[in-house]
Amino acid sequence: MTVIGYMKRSALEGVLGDLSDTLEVIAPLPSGKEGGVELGRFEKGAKVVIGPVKTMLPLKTIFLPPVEQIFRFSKSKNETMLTPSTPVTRDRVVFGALGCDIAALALIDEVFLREPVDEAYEERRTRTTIVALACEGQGPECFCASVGIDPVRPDGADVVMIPVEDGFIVETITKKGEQLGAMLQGALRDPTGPQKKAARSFKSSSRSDVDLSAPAGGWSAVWESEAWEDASARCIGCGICTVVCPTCHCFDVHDERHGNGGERFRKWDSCMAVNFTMMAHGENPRPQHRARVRQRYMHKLVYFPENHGAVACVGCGRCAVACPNRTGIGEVAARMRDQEEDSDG
Amino acid sequence: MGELMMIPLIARIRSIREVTFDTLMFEVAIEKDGKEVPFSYLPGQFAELSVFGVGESPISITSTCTRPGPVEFAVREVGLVTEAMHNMRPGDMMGIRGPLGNGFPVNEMKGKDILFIAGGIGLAPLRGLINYVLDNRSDFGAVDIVYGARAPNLLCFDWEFDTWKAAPDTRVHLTIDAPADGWKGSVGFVPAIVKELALPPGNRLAVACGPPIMIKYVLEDLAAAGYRDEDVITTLEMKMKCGVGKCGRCNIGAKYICIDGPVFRLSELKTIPSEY
Repeated sequence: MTVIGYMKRSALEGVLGDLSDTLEVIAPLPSGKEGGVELGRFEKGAKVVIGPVKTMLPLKTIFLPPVEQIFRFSKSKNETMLTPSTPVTRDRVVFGALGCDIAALALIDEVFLREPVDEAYEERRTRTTIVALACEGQGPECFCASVGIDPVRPDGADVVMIPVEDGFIVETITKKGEQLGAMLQGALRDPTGPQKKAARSFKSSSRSDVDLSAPAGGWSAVWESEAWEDASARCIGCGICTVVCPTCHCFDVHDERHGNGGERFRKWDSCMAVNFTMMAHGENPRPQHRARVRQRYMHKLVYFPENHGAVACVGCGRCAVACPNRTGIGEVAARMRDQEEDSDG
Repeated sequence: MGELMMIPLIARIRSIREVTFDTLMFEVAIEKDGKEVPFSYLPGQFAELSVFGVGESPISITSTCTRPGPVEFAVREVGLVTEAMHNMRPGDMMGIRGPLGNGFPVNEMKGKDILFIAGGIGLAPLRGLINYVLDNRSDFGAVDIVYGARAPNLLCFDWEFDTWKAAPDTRVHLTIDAPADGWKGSVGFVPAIVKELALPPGNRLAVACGPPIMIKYVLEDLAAAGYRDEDVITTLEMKMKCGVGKCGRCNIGAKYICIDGPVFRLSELKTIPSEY
């Protein structure tokens, strides 16, 4: 980690504009009429929203787009020609990413970069430099510190910008970050002593007391937990939790035909959907709502840790904010553990 | 695999054979850039077959790698993709991604007696293994094949039965659910026939595939007969999309059926929830 300088907030849009000559620049931009913020492609003249606002959709959207063409095909009498799609056309930089979202990428990497490697995902990861915005804890829903994430200098960031005074202290972390840092030099000045001090003492207020740990004994210990009854009784099965979740990564594959050609897509899917596991002949191994609710939490809290050593939750709290019934994963995890203690006693 | 995870190769249909009224067997040659390429696989593996513009389906490979030539897939018409396949003709092109999945542990099965148990279309994944075993006959012990369907005309791959019966130390026990005109074999459900045969575990593995209700009773009966969980092998069917452990659809417990399976020993199945 190297402090490379101080950048004034007012210089940021100019810097991004200059970068957009050579890179695809992605940043949090205003969205809709109600003060929403979404990651989007920065065009010169745009205003970036850097501040205490979490994008409604997580950073995963730029690595696993909601809908993505896999290939196009065209048919002639004797041949079918396939043209694989190009995942990215230029090297990219994403500005203002938050620690929770960046940490989630490391979890998705476990799935998409294991053999056989998902080439489209890998190319997007390789060709994207991530500039984190040190996060104070964006809202009461945040609990990234509870799952071991440092929201100030998150693992996985290439560059970190730490808000001080009316600008940022810029630190580079990786080789990729140094390369980007070199492109920022024109907008940087030497930080003052107080600025450096403010960056060093920058702290997050993210909650660190949310316990997502599963009890010993694996899935079977909590399979019949009343947590699933409670959570499914409150759940309307809308699946918004999976849409806003930075670690949810399930997808569907489907084809469209246009004349003698067509295309194959993949698009986000949700284990909360009834047809997620419904087979063509009508069998469905997970037909009950309760079983689907259980699957979502078990996958994050029990199965993923068993396979990859970490819970598949980064404490962003988006699920509880988006849920019509405000169900958060922390309370479900607590209920799951209660059950286990009850049955022991 | 093709060179790219989600990009299929071309499977050109060489011939189509009727298996039952709703099941066709496609013999396909695999092509890349217009040239035929080799396709190596293990018994029990599967592939994602696609009809371009309609979609993809996971289908088990029913041929055996011991017989070079076209790769065979038996496809029952149950949904949109399989319906579109049934409308295809020799010369038509499907997409193919594979081989996928783990396949049967053929090396660990060597030297063992094998009891094959199948119901209906469940014979499709076992047929490749049966032919593999018979093509390497001296590597394996006694072979017994119990196979049943609801009616005689629903028995799949009936052209194989005489060859199998004629193989050394190999017995085929066919059964149908209810008496039918002209049927001279056993009548009764597959689990009942297995029970009646009462083949002792000893050095024997049981390999079963069929409808869930058949599997349920077969597993219970084998356990009661003293078969150890690690000596009972089955292959699962699940909804799949990517086939390579990413899309999440076939996740059960900490396993993905597409990459950790579809072949499992009963001892492994007992480590995951029974959501299959």
